[in-house]
Amino acid sequence: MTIIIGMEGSANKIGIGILKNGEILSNPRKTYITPPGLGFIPSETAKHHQGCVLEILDEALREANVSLKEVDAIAFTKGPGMAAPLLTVALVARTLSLMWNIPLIGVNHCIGHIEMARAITGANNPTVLYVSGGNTQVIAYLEKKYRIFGETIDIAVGNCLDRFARILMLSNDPSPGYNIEKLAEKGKKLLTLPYCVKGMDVSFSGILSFLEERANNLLKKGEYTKEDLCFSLQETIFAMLVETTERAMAHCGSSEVLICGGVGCNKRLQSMMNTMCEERCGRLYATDERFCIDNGAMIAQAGYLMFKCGITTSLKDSWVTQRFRTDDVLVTWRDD
Amino acid sequence: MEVNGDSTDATAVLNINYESSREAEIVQKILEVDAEPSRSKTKKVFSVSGRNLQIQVICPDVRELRISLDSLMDHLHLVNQTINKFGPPQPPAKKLCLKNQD
Repeated sequence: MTIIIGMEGSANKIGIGILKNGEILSNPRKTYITPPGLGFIPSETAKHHQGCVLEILDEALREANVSLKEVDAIAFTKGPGMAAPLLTVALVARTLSLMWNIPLIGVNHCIGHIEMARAITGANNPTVLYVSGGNTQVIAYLEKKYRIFGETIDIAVGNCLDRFARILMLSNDPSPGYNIEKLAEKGKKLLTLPYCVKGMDVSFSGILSFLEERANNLLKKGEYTKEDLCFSLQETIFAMLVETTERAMAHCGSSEVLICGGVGCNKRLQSMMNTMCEERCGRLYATDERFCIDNGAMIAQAGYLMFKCGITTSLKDSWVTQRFRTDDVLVTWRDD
Repeated sequence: MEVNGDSTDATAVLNINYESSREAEIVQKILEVDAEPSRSKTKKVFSVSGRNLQIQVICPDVRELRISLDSLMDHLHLVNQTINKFGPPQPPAKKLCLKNQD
């Protein structure tokens, strides 16, 4: 029997999940929500995490009915992410590890998303679209690494959505992307936006600037509604993502697509991807907000796979890093 | 806590008492892991004697010292709270071996 605690806090979500032989026993999470028009800055986000991490840990242990002496390993997010919030979680992980003589496992956040989504959906060897507030990558597995076939060359797709929500002064509760998605459902009129696919890579910052310059004017003149603008933005950026994902599938001869990351719970993105998959006789795998959005269980899941291969992280290597690429990790736990 | 400073150098010495020397050593080990940011000229020197953890923070000026102490205090507080809530520390394992089983 293997019990793993997973601790995640690389951005504005802090979550702790407990897994017993890969089965989720508990997975509580809290989000740092800022007022409309404002993003979250690292030092304030770290303060938020410091204020509630122990409470969430307590909740996770109680709900799972697990005591620390039964725990086999503590997995924590090593990176990528914002340094101050990452360090907050790492400090608690180290303290528990030293007090209770439990080994640590430093997990790559992106690998956490991929492995959680694979475990939940049962997708075997999919082409992965990983879309969140900090990352946008098209990934396929080959010879012990998750290889990046395409990625954003500037800002992440979730960052583009978050910042557009700030232009429109939409609420950040429960998340700016969710509120854009709800408005977009009522949008009818499509505004032509720049379409920025460069080979296998995508770019979102130009689209955001384009909207920044025009959105308030278009709304004032009554030519477009907020709903129309949300709709136009989603249609454009999701089409870019579907296009690059399709090309990666064709290249790899894959018939499965897996969407993960916070933006991955967007129903419109899922439905556009599904249309593409159906046309190619492929299959789409996606999860809901419990597992798409950053959470502790995903770190525990990746940690569990690593632990089974005998991978642990020594205390002196338990530092955190803002940059940690998906293809830096040797995937020893997969045999294909 | 003592603070000494002139225009070129500023040093603060923190002394924190713990319940046991093991606790003090644990906190030292936890805080020693992280390197100072690459552009920072701050230096930290840790030492434990008995139940006392001493941290010397040496900065090029008082402003950097304040910033350095600010985050150090946050980190210390978080670690101390974790020890209070999820401690006390168990006796150290003789050998940290992996129980690699299903």
